[in-house]
Amino acid sequence: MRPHRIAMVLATAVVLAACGGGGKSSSGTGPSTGPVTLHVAYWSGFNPPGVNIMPSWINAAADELKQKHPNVKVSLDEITTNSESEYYAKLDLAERAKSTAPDVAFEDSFLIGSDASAGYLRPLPELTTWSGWPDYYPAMQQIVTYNGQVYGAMNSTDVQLVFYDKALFQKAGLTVPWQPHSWNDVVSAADAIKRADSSVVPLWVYAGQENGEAASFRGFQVFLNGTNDRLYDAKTQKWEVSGPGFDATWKFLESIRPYIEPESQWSSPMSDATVALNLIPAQKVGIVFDGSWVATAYVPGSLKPWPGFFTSYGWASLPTQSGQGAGYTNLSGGWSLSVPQLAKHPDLSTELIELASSPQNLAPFDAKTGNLPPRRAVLTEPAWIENTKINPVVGFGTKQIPYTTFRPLDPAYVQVSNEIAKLTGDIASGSKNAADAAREYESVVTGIVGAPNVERMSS
Amino acid sequence: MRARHLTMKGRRRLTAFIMALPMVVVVLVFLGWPTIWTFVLSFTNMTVTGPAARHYHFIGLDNYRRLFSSGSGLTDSIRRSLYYLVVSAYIGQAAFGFLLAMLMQRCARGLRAAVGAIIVVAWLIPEIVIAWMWFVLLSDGGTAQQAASAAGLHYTSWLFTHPMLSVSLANSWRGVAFSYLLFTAALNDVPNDLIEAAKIDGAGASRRLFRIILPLVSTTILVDLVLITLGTLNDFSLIYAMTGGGPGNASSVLSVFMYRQAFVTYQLAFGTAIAVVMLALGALFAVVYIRILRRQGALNLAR
Repeated sequence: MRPHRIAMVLATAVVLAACGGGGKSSSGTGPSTGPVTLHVAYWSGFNPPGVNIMPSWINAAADELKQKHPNVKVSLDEITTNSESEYYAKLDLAERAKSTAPDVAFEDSFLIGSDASAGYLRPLPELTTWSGWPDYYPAMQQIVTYNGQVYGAMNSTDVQLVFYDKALFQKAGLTVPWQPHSWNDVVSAADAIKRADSSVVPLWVYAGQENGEAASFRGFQVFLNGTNDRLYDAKTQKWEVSGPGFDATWKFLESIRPYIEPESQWSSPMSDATVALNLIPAQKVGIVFDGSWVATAYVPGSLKPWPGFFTSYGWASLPTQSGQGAGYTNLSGGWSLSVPQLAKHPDLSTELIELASSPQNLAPFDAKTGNLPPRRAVLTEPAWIENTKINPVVGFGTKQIPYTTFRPLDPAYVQVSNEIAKLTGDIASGSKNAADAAREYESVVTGIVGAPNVERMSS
Repeated sequence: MRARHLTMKGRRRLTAFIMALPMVVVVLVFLGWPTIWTFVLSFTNMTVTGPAARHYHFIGLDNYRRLFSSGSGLTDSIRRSLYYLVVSAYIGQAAFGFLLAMLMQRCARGLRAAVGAIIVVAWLIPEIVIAWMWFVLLSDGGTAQQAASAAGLHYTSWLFTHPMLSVSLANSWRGVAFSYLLFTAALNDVPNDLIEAAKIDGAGASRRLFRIILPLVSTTILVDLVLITLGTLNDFSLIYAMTGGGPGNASSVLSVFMYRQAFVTYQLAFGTAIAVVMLALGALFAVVYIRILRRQGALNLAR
């Protein structure tokens, strides 16, 4: 008899040990009574190198929240990963379960559609009646809207720009200041630089899976957007999988191959740091397609202070394929603060988001991270005005926001984008030509979203 | 009441069962359940984000059909995993470890201790630190490049030109100590008088190696191979930290392929199908080794 009992006790103990752990922290009480802790999850990598602005931004909002609700504490749950895609995966997995779901999540806007459709995020209709809401740029309101519901408030955005090295341009006999009006202008400038100085990288365009979203967004979509085709037709809610604009974009990427070498540099997972911290400061790269935040790396107090950047380099708007439309195009990303579906105190979470999104709190945050403000009132904040004096690139960037667009919010975007990143790498390395890439894109994307959800554009 | 009249044998069996129970429960909870769950998920369309993240459903064999269709990347990943196994585990760890152990037998004791200590240090360093050390050594602007340029040579990062060889070298460096230690212990057990007798009988060095030493340590060799095979086939962090599976897919072994599908493109269920294939491959190797060990009579624990 005794062995039986021992076995029972042992088995119970083991099972208890195995099943214990997490899931005990929720107090389950209402917002205004006992002590409440709000967990804010954010990505370690969002801070520019050498700057740790995240905690002070959230803490400022937390202090304001504490004045209204003395029982509420805010805990900063930094998620440390090297790559953005790992952060998204960790955040999404945390949002799956009640015991791990944060109360406020720092979400990349392009995942809002996907995460909302997964049921991870909570619709926040109260944000649209909040006094700050009308101040957001229309694109910044739409970027967080999925299926007619708002899923967060943007805290930062960006535009894409063409940076160019004035000294190399002059050496190549090109005129400065420069504003390309077509893709041809870009290619011919790159060619002139290559002929003038063989020791530099004439053109920097992100490519390949290692660069993930950067390759898809800044290495393909900013160009496709300059044609008459789009990735996703918002009207018919179908994915465009082929068309003259797609063909032209793949061809263009094929044509710049000789100018973006060496492959060992662009294909490295650290390539964004390579270009920003090595190539640009050494003036070893002619033309760079990158985000508006890049210039933050050179302001005083950053990792690589180099005030000379603002006189040595110029910046221009992205041209369309052959000057069609308004002549320029742009695409924006940016991050929002959202509330997970399984958050325990959604009202307090929303309140914290509104406080963190005030012009006073956003101004230093956007300035320090090198981002652009998603709402107009930030532009007149002293901290922001100060920033535009140190970093004139952001001043130029904010002028582009009213005309910018953003990525499709359809949940299939993540997978489609990954395929694009892969194909940009295949073209850049020469393992596929433009026609192969166009064919693979059509078949893979049709496979991802299903044949009824695609359309083919004709000329 | 019958239980009171258990025989001696029955009672001992019961005790054995009870003693084993905690272990069985732990294995079931922490190993069995995740394995079964992985297997189940591989027949669904679950993703990390998107509509199928929480409301997933069974899609039969679709994941496997996709995985085994051409162009999925599976065959290339298996090929790279086998390369990694042969070059880094069989050659770099086992063969080289054996050679080291043999050579060290003839060294002076002091030297043996010193070299042994150095080899074992590699075993003590955390994997991620080793990955970083090799990354710094081989990457663009790294130690190798600086050494090469000082010698007037041209060097393009091996992580880029020879990614599989680079990660295999790192894994050999890290793992050779394990095989070396195992073989040193086994070689110490080879009776010296046996070797002396063979020598007197006129057996040459290679004959002594193949006819006397190798048969005597063959069990150790097999056990070593089992352990390093499974460790190498499942290795992920060293490769991922050094090359990220790149450039392109050039060092995307099975584990990296699985990780990318599950957590980079967020197709969790498709990733679990790859995990099942990995499990099957590992099991295949394990079964073959165990068969050989059984034939040798080395696994007589069960009897």
